[in-house]
Amino acid sequence: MSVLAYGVVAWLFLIGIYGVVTSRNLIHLVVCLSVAQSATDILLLEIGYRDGGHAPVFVSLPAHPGPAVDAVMQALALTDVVVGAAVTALLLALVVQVHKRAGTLDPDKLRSTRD
Amino acid sequence: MDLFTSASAVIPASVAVPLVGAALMAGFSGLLPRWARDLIAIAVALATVVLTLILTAASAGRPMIYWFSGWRPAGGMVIGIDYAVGPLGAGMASLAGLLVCAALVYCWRYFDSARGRYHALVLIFLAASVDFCLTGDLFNLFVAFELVAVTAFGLTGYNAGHPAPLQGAINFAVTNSLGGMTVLMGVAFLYARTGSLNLAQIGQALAGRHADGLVVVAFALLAGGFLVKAAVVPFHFWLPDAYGSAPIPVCVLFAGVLSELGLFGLIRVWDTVFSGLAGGPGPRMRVVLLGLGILTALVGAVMALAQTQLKRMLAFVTVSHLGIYLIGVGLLTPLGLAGASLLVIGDALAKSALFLGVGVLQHQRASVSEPRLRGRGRGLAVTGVTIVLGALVLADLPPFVSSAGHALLVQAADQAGLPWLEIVIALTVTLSSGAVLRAAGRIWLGWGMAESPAPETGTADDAGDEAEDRPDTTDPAGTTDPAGAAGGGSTGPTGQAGPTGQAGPTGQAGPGLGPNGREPKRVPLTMLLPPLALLAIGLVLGLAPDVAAHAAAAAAAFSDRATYASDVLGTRGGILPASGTVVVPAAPAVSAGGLLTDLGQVLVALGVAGIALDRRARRLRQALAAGTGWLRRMHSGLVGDQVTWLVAGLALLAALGAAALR
Repeated sequence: MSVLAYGVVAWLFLIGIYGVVTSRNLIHLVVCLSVAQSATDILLLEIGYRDGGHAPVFVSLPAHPGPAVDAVMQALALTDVVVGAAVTALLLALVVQVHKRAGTLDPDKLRSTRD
Repeated sequence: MDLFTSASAVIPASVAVPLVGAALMAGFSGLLPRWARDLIAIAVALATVVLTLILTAASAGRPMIYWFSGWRPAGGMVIGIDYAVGPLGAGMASLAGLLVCAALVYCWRYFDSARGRYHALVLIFLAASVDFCLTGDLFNLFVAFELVAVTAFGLTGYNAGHPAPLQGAINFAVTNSLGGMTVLMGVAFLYARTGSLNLAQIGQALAGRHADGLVVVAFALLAGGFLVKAAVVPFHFWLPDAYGSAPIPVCVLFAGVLSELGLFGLIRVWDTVFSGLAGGPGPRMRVVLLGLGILTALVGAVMALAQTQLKRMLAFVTVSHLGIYLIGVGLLTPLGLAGASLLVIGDALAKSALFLGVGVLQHQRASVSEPRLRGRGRGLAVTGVTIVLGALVLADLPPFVSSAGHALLVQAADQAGLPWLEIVIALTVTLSSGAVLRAAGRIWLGWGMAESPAPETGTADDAGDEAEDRPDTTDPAGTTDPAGAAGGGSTGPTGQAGPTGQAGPTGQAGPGLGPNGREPKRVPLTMLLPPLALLAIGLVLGLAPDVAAHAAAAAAAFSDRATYASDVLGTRGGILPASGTVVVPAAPAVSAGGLLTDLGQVLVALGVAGIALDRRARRLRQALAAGTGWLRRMHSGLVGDQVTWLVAGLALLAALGAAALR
């Protein structure tokens, strides 16, 4: 379980970055960025995970509830999801504007800031 | 004591005030007239400056620890979230507030139609910067990091009427989001190793231990993320794209505080968490950071000299200066940190003044292109003086505060046994300052070659210099027709085949006339005064007695990991037990030698500008341009290239970090 989760984290992060690097379409690029972002969420959850742990809800528990998974990491993941959503929304808004002004979504054709 | 107890209520207020102000701006701006929006926003920013200045004064001597909701550590175990306020962080926060004030005053007349959203974004940027500077919690640091970044992305592309700022914003957002992800992963790994998110407690858990693979990876991820924001080579490619195209008032915020926050985060995490690792990793890490700093300083200076678009030139000047700060920070001594802090303040004020001066040019002459503005500066004498003075301050003109910082930095390099660093600093400072002086000489004195974008300097096609953020400005010269505005953009993204050589006819239109030959409006005072006020503050700070000694004391307190940890973990009642008196090191004497060095730098910078403008030195310039062409080609402006460099840089950091920490 653990090794698999870390493998998924590494795979998602790398494939996301690969997508960003090679993208020829800005919307595709933004989605690739969210793929990389999701790797961080899985990493957080995996670090907070405990085998056999119950959800970190501490009301009306049985007498011997056993271990709980780490609530701190879940809170972090939640915050990260919010940050990711904000960044994605903002980037997509910028992409819409780029399409309006420049008429293309190909980053290679947008060379207005090259040196 | 009274000051101290009342000041602990000030700590949360310094973040809450700008946040509430931002919420009001976002929610009720439609009900308020324009002047009321501007006034309220400026008042909120000023209040934040006052609050953070109180904190700077009150926390000198001993740090102030504030636990939110009173969740203090129990038996040395941290359960809450704290602010650990020291004069260095609080001073950085007040610098951010000051620049926000300047940007808000300036945009009064710069943006015609600034709706409440602009004010709200700027105030959130301020609140997040203050949060970043004060927090003692690693995850809080990440949240502030992201909040600063997201508002900055939004501000870069604010009201963009041209693809360039949008592309700058996208490059900025993609690279810095990846930086944010690596910071978060680093946070997660440190939590996995130590079970804490509090900087002091993590530092205690790692103190005296040998760094294992997990700690090394966590360091590389954290440092990589912070260095992306700090625009250190090879993570810097986004910065010229963003700063070179963002609206001027936004550039002021960015050039002064944004990237400096990255360095602040790096040194904060290093001092509180990693510096206690067994085996004394300091000296080896110093080599890594100094190497990166020197590389950044040189690349920034060379690239600045190659630019003819003024905002992009200032962006590379910023990169170069960030390299110098990293040299100071990377010495990993309190004196180096103190020198870097004073340099950050002095240069931030000067760079902001320069950006604001360039904004006047853009506003009055509808261009930020050096060749097109040649000889057209007449009639803007105050701005000319501002820009020349700002450039000289960048070369550490005494008695401005950057000169004091430079003296401290040189002293720190000497103490570390690396006196040759002084030569690197002098070289990069004079080159980047000379670039700005060259532009001033060409624009105000009409010196240099007459031909439009000379092949030996800068971009052959800088389409969009003219048009960017035009829709927002008051457009004194009437509406320049879009084809003319995009003139020179033979490969403009919109495909307009505008006529090149727009510089010719407009250049002859007479110094006092706008591009269309109409009389431009007077420059509003709200655009002339802020840069002068910023320079004056730099002068006053430089003349203040013992500013160097105070900086050294603040840096010494900041760098002391063990005291920091015991202060945070041993707090009772929200107020510290007296942690002894901080030893104020003897004030580094202002030596005649230091003054001579600074004056020498100023003269050499003037000389660099002279050579750059001299007709006889054309051969030399061509040779230099040919020698640096490969470097310029690397700045392709393609987000894919930038992310590739980012990944390569991360791998490099991991390798160097492993060598340094283990």
